Amino acid sequence: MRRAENSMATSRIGVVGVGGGGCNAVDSMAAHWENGPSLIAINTDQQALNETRATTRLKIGEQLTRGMGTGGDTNIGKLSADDDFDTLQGLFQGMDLVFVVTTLGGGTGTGAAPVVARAAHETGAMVIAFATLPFQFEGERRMSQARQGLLELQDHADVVIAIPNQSLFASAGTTATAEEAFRQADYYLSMGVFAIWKLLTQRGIINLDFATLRMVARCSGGTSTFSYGEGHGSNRASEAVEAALHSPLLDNGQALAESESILVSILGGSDMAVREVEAIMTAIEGATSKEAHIHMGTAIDSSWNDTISVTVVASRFWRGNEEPDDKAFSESHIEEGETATATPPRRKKKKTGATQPQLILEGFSKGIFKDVEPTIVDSEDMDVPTFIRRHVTVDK
Amino acid sequence: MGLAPIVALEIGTSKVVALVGEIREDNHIVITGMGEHASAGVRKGEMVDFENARICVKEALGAAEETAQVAIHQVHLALSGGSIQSLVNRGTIPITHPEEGVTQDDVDQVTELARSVNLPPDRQILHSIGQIFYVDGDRVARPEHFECATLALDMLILHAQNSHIRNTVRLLRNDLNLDVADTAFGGLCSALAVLTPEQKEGGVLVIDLGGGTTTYTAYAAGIFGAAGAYTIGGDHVTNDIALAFNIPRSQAEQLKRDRGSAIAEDTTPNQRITLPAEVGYPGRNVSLAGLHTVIHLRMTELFQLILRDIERKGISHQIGAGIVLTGGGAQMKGLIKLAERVFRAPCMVGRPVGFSGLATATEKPECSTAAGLLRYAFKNATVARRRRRFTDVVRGIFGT
Repeated sequence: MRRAENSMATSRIGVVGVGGGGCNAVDSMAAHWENGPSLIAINTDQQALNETRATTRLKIGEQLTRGMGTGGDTNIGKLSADDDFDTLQGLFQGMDLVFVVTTLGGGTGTGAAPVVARAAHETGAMVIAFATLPFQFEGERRMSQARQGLLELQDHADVVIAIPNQSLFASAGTTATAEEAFRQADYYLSMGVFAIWKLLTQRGIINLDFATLRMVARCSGGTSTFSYGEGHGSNRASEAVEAALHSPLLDNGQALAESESILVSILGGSDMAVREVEAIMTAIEGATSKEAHIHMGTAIDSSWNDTISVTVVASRFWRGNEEPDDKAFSESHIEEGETATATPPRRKKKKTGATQPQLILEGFSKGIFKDVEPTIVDSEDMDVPTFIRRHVTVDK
Repeated sequence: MGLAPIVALEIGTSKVVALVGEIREDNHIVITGMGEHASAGVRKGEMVDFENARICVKEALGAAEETAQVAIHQVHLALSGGSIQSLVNRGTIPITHPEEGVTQDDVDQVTELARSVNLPPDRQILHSIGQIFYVDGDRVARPEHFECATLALDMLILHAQNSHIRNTVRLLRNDLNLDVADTAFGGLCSALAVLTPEQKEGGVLVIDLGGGTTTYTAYAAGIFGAAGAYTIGGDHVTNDIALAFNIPRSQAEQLKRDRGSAIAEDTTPNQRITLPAEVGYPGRNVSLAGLHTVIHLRMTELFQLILRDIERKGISHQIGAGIVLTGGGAQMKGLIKLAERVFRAPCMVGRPVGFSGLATATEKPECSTAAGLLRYAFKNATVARRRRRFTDVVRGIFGT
């Protein structure tokens, strides 16, 4: 059953690279992962598409660009995606989770990625966008385009994880070439996606399920930051967590202290010890504020023996608790970011339940509760057995 | 004192319980009649099949009538659906005549103000319970005659979805010709049944583990501090087991009762339990450790939800007298140990205290709610008889 569930999870998660940079990142994922989620490359540039290793390739805006790219014009990028909106929706049909990976600043990535995110969202998938912001040397115009794109992405994705390339540059060292800097950015991007994907599909010591991820997505507002650290050998746990915590992406840890929502993914080989996980979490808890909502999960991959990686997704805000009861009275009036409507909370809850897909097949896992009003707490369906939601293997 | 016998009715997810009680001069309650019937048509504490529910209620009341030798025309009803929630509302009024001190009128006025909360149209107030008064910000139990500029009162409001209450009351009134004298929150009733004044004063959390719902009630320093309910109960445990081992629900229920434990690590590894064959299901055996893991995960999760609630309400560190588990689910093996671990506080199973009469009713944790409801109803009746003011009513019932 374990295996069947895994393959189901894999098939329903998609990673989409949008634009040149996004496709490069997807390409580097294709090179590194076996049996990964389905990889999709979307671009306006036919030539760039030809070179990608993604399993699915989609050229958008054929009529507008003749497959020649956008020339850095975000408007053309946007219109190209609009033209092929139906095709995009078809692509995401039946997916539960779509990662939209893009490098903001260029024409296709900046213009088309928000449309791609919208298409995925409208078919019912949860959308996590990973977006890099340009290096300083790329110029002010690309930077301002990128900022605009980031805002639009936020409108359509559940979570936007922004990676300022310039901060990455600091870690690559002053002697790094542009080529190396870009490759480093691709690597970070792919590791971020990889970490979350692994977390959802691989069994670990502590599992993080789709419902929790959805809750984190719903509750943490705005743009999130992200950092990644890796360690090898006997000191791997502390090496990995140190690298993640002191990453320039998190302003050397400053951003973490100010974040209210923190998602931690720990990936290791089958030799990863519980005490290592414990040491990592202690270090992270020490670096974060006491009030922060920390969610963590571990994933085990036997090919990761001798290596541990720590991925931290930090969001500045935690938008209250989704618990319907409290919200109904004291919080609903003041809750920020909520569109003020007169909808009674009960109905709202149901509606969210309907648009948000459940990774677990309902009829199968709910038994006698399949026909009654579900017990939803923090957007988790409590009628589904705890062991299934926590992905615990039970001795039969 | 000559109070008429009172009938307490609880329509639970797994069982309908009806108790008939009489009060003696010394406020001791004697249970003179009892009727029980397995529930049908109730899921998660709410009726889903009225016809079946009606039959079960009728059977239970019939049995109670028989043992108590009374005819039942009126009942008090306990409600335990998961829609029940609590909130604290503070009412504050200025005292315009400070030299006179706080008068009874001021107390009435602040009480009225603290009781008025705006609830969505589909909710209604079940109880409003005065917690503590503040005279110029200082906590006092009785504010009368204090000289101050402002008087405030914290009111704990328990509210429920009104369709739930209405449906049940309609069934009893129309289909069974019964008068519903009053309704009360089941969790509160359980607390009234199993707690001693010392426990309330020391701070205590009562968790009533029912078949479809779990309710909790917390007292801190003698004051009723918080209450709530989750529609997670023994049925969820049974369902988890049935799905884990792919066995019918009846077998899962049996397995839970006979061999279940909320603690997994004490189990001998590799020990297996043989299940007899049933119609359509071959006999088979399942891992005991697996069974305990399934139960452990579910119960840990449930306790953690409650812990989180009381932490949010700021009373998790005020439960010095610990945790009292009651309700049918409280008899699960290992549950006390698990609760002690999750709440980091001492834990015990609570049974109705201060009742006599039918031994079956006074000794079982699953009768706590109905027994507590009797106490609630008698207190109300005695208090009403003495014609005390509202705030005193409140204090008389819920104080220590």
